[in-house]
Amino acid sequence: MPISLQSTPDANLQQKVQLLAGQNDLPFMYAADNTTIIPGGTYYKTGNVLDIGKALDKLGVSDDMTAVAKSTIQQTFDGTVPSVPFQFNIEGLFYNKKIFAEHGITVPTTYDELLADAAKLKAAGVTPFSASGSTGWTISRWIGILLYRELGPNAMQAIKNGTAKLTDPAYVKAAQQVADLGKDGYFSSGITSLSYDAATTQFLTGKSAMMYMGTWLLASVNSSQNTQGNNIGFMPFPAVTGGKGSIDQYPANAGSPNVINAKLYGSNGQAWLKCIAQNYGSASLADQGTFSGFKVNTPVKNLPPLTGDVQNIINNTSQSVLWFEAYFGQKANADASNDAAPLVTGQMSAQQYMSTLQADLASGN
Amino acid sequence: MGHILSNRRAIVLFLAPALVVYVGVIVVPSAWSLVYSFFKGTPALGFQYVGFANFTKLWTDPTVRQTLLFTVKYAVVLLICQIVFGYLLALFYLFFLRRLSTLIRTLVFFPVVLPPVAVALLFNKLFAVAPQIGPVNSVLQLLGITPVDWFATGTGAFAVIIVMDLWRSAGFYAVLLYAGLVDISSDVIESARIDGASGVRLVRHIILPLSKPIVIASVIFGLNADLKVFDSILALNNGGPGTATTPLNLYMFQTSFLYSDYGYGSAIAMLITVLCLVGTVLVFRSSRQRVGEAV
Repeated sequence: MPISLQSTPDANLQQKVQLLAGQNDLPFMYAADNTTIIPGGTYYKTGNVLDIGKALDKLGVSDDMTAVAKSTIQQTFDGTVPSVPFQFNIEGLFYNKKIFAEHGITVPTTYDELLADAAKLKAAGVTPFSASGSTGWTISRWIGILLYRELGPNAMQAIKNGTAKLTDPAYVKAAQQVADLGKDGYFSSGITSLSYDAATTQFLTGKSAMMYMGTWLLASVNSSQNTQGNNIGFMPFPAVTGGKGSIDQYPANAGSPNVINAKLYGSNGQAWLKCIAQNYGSASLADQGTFSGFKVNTPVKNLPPLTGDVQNIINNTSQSVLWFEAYFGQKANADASNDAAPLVTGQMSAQQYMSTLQADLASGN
Repeated sequence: MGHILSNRRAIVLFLAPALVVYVGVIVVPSAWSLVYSFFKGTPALGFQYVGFANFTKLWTDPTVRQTLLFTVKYAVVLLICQIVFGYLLALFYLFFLRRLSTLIRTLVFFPVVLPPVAVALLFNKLFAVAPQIGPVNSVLQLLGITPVDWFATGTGAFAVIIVMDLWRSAGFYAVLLYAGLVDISSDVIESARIDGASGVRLVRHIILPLSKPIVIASVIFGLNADLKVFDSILALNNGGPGTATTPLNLYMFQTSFLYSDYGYGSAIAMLITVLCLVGTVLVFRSSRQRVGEAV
């Protein structure tokens, strides 16, 4: 079938999707916020969400979606599979092996070791962590991973269920730890207006030692943006001593939601989905060096070393967790991101940061 | 002429096109927005009537309080700067540059024709500290001062916003006020001079009172423009850090189009309308008497 793609700036996307939905004119595939496509969400109610899991079953290709991708999606979307997993990412710390070696640092396994390493790097005049204030989730994800390490894999589920609040001391503590990283000067300087591209460039050109990021960064690592060659490594976020989470629980996601409109899913759509399920995994790995939620049916040879390493980690991951904002609505998502820079520059306290988010969640946004 | 204007059909015929356009693009959407402010929902799922819930939320929402305070602070500070700076420029054109002022006027007016977004990006780079140090911080460095991350604090970002919007609009107010000053009869100025008034006394007792109507017009014009600031701040720093420099207009936009709460967004829009109305009425009230005296 002929495929036409419409691109829309990120900020206008939800507005456009909403208007199209209001006119019953959504395209075959569209991008939507997580909360709108779970059971009970806006587009779920309007009947515009196809359950990909069931569709693949009917097409007889359900084995082509990896089990870990499926469970991650189900965890995100209340047990349903509303998104085509064009990506499968895990999150952790990317680091510069050369800088580590120059300063006699080995890969840390506990958060205390990580802090000691950061202090050492800072003292030597190296920026320990790259992050972007204008793309604030690069900072807020730190809060998420600290929560998962400290409180265990159900940390954010408890917030969603209402059995815990972000303003509980254990949760505020994680925000405080991230604020402290900022206070100690461990993040990039001028972080408030630093863009995502500038932050990744800083890391990939050897101007900082580490960056907390998802494996979608591999596309940049494998591109000419990276001047450090094979010196870029990937490690799990260290464990927190005494925490209920463990170091091998990686935050995982299956990319931004790509929803198939159930109302337009006909024989052409079925043929297309089947083709994607069988071939996309290999194509994504061969062309971009990134992972999808589909099996690699045609083996890809000569993978860049780091891509190969990450593939091994993904294949051996038994338990994944979600990310900080996975259950957040639009306003909480925006606030988590926008308030992250003020949090690390000391303009906003950890308590204020978490209460703003808790208020957003309480008002259903 | 009098004959035509006494014909009702002619009046209707003349007014109709403008009236239709005005009603279509101003009155109907405003009324629509007012109606929306009593509803909650999205285009996809439809809207439910919620009474005054959106308006009561305005009172309790801490972000509204913060953005309202910022908007008023921004409008007052910028307005004072615009009028004072614009007036000084106008006096400068009139008394110092005189006929030579055309070139300078054009140069000072130039930023007015630039798109606000382009100006915002320009100032973003001017005051940048990362990834490259911008010109302003370079100068500070030369003077031995540590570079400042202007956009990291509410105060720093506010200062940049005021400087930027003043640079962008000063030329406009200068020309507006200059037009008023040029209008003052040279006979009056001449006779004041003969009576011995010069310099500051001339400006204070003759020029200022006679130019009051145009100053009041500028204040009303400026106040309404400043209370509705949006594009320049959106492009400069998106109202950051956090919501420290978010004006009401930007919060209204975010609420409606990013958080998909059209009803509450409309309620915020109504708040902006009331704010502009109250501001304008206050300026009118306080000036009416004195303008009457001056003219």
